[in-house]
Amino acid sequence: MNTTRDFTELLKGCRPIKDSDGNIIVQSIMNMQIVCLTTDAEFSLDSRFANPLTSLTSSNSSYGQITFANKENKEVILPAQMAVITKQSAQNHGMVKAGYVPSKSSTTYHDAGCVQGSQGGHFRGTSEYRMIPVTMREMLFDAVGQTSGHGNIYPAIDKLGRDTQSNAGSYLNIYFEKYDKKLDEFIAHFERPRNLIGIIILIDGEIVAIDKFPSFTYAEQVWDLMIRDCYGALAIISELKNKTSSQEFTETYNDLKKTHQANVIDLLEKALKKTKANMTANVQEKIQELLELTFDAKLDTEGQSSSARAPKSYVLKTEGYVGQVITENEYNHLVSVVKRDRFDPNALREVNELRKKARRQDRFSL
Amino acid sequence: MEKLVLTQNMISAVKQSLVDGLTIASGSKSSATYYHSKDEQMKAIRVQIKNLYKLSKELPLIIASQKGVTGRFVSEVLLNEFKQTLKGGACNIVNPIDWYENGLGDKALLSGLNNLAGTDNGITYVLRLFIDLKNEKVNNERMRKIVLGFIWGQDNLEFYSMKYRNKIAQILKHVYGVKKTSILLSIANKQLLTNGLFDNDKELGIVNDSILKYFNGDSIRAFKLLLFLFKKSGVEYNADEFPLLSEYMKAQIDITNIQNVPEEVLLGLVSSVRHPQYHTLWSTELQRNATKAMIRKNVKVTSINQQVRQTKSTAKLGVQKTVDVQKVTDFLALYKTGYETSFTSEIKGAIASLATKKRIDDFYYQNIGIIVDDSISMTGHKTESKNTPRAIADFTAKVLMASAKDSAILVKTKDEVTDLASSFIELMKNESSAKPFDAIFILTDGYENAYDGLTNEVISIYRQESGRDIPMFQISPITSAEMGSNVRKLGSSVVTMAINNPTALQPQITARLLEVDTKMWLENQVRALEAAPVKRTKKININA
Repeated sequence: MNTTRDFTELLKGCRPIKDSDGNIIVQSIMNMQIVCLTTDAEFSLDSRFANPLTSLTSSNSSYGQITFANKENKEVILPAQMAVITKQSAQNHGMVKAGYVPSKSSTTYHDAGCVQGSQGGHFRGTSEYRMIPVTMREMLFDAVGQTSGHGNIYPAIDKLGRDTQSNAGSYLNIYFEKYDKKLDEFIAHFERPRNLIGIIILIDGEIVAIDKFPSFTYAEQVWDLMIRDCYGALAIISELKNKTSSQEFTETYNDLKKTHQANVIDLLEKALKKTKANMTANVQEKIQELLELTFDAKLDTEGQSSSARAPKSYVLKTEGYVGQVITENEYNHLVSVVKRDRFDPNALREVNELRKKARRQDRFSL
Repeated sequence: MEKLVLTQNMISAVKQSLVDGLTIASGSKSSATYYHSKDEQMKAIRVQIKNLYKLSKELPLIIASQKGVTGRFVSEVLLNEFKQTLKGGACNIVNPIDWYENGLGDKALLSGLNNLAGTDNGITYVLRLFIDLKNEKVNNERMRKIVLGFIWGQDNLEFYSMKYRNKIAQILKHVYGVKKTSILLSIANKQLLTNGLFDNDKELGIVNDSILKYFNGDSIRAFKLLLFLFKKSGVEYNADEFPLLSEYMKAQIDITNIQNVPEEVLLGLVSSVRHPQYHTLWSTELQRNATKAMIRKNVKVTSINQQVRQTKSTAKLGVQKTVDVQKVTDFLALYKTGYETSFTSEIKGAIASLATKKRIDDFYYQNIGIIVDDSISMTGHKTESKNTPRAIADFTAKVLMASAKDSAILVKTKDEVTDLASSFIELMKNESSAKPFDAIFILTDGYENAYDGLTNEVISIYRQESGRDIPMFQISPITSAEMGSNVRKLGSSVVTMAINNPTALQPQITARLLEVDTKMWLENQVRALEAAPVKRTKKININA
């Protein structure tokens, strides 16, 4: 069943977290920024879902599949693209999407992929999970539903290896082994605010990924893994490209100084407020651009529960962005969207501009 | 003391190592931080100590003798020192004649040990260190003499024998060796029967060398303690001579009405199925809870710091116990109890008065500004050190306020993420023109979120535009493993220091002097060590 989903609908109920001056709180490192989203407490389903990292054990009996067994009395929503990186003598595997496992039952996904080249063997009852780096997301979402073979993820690992100079080949563990220490440091740069429900990631001022979680509790449970494993790859790539934070405050201060005569503290205060306002305005502008987006939503049935009452999975696609939503009666539990690597947001800007112009035009008449 | 042998070429390397070493020593705890596990922290501490030792063997011990250094750091320094041979490592700062022949090395080691024993819960740190010596199979003459001097020299050895019985027995067995332990126990047994008469000079020599030259008391008392530690039966402990051990003996049969045996010891006794009261006091959950409550109510030897930490569990056990929080000396106990239960007016009052008690005498600054980072990362690690950084920062701010000679203004960050730049501006706006700040202290873990380096930009511009060169100190309650157990710096415009306790503040500030004249600073430290009134035993000084 195909349908469409507006971006505004996907993130309904969410809003960016702001500081006491009303500015969107933007946390930054190098050229990467994160904006945290929150929602009203009634939209955080804290008691419904179990912890995806501790409730599930995973096994497989053939390559290209993963079975998740949920031992809890609560349902579990699998975060998008989790990987099993095990110490067992078995081939590590990864998911190409998010999933849903009912309480006290198990679910098998046949569109999973191997993430460890020529290693053989099947894993049993393990909970050794990592998140797949966000830069691989696009290629993995494109592979949702592909059940033939077990090589769904290899091309994405190969690309990650090139982007991060880790020579990962078809071994995701090689990338993690090379960068684990750096990724641990990376966690420290960001603080998880209370009542977090989602995250927007920007690189060079452009939105590259958006995640919305089922609840505040869930967000807390996956925060470290999301920051370290998933988004950390962006920082690694930025560092390799020698990207740095701009001295935005100093530039703003020097500009203000040319036209203002205030004492130094007042001028510093003005410059700081302006710096934060600029950061807010930039983020707002970028989010605003996405509000026009409409995604084609294709029902994803591979491995997902067929029960009429269970949440449904849809793969989302639009020009420049790809993702997934786990939804139930129009309530979106989990949303994961990523910008396509080759997509230039300026193209979207031009489209939006034309659309706006079209809306302003009067209908033809004489 | 001869002049230092430190060469000009080495000064810059020594200076940097000392600054880093002091930072780590004052801030590094063995517990996990918000960002790093215990293992990572420990690894970073060990690497730093190894580097210091490699540069010159005196450096780790000089740092371990400073006030305010953490127990974990001192333990690791001493463990490292004991592992090396007496003459191992290069002596590049002090003249080797002073270090080896004139006993300076011995004094440095004993100063470190005294420093360790003097910290809160010092005895547990020292015993843990001695157990580590056993685990690491360290056994040499110097180590043996120092360990025996410490244990047998304890004034309250009777209490420690009861509370840390197994640990002390393990340590003594390691130091004496299996054979000598057996000989000593056999002599002790015999001596109790013959009332202090030795069979021959050989026995007397063994006992003198192994116990009596370290012990402040008569031989019969020492033997009874030794036999108790090694769980030998048939010894009588009368209440006049051994008020605590006699109660312990009673508790082996009946734990009700026991007041002078530590709670954990009583729980250990009654929870054993061999205890006569096991089936009436411990075999069901209901019995266990009632017994725990009874013990909590009766025992009078629980330290006041421990009592306040037990507030929550005491209430859970349904025991009414009044704790005089004004007597608490451990600020973390007060804060953690406050976080777990609530900050009652008594706890707040106790914190305020403890901060006043701990104020720094001869504090250098008159008017100070303080910024406290109140962001989420300051809550510490989820499980192991929850709220510790926040408590350290908050209490340090209070101590600083009490220490400033004239005035202090405090500003806390407002939002959940770290925005110190706004707080700096707020602080400067609140500065009184009549009492301008002569120092600013920023208490933070150093992780900025608004964007990395923003505060440094703001402060740099402020300094440049105002022409004021106010000393600014970044005080971090945590050190970060990824920074090699050092402080994550806000930037070049502030001086960084790590502290785990406000006691470390003044040494940290004065330690900055070493950056001005490293050689002079070192000379002062070595002279202080030389003058330290420490001995391996309280009775006589022994040259290894």
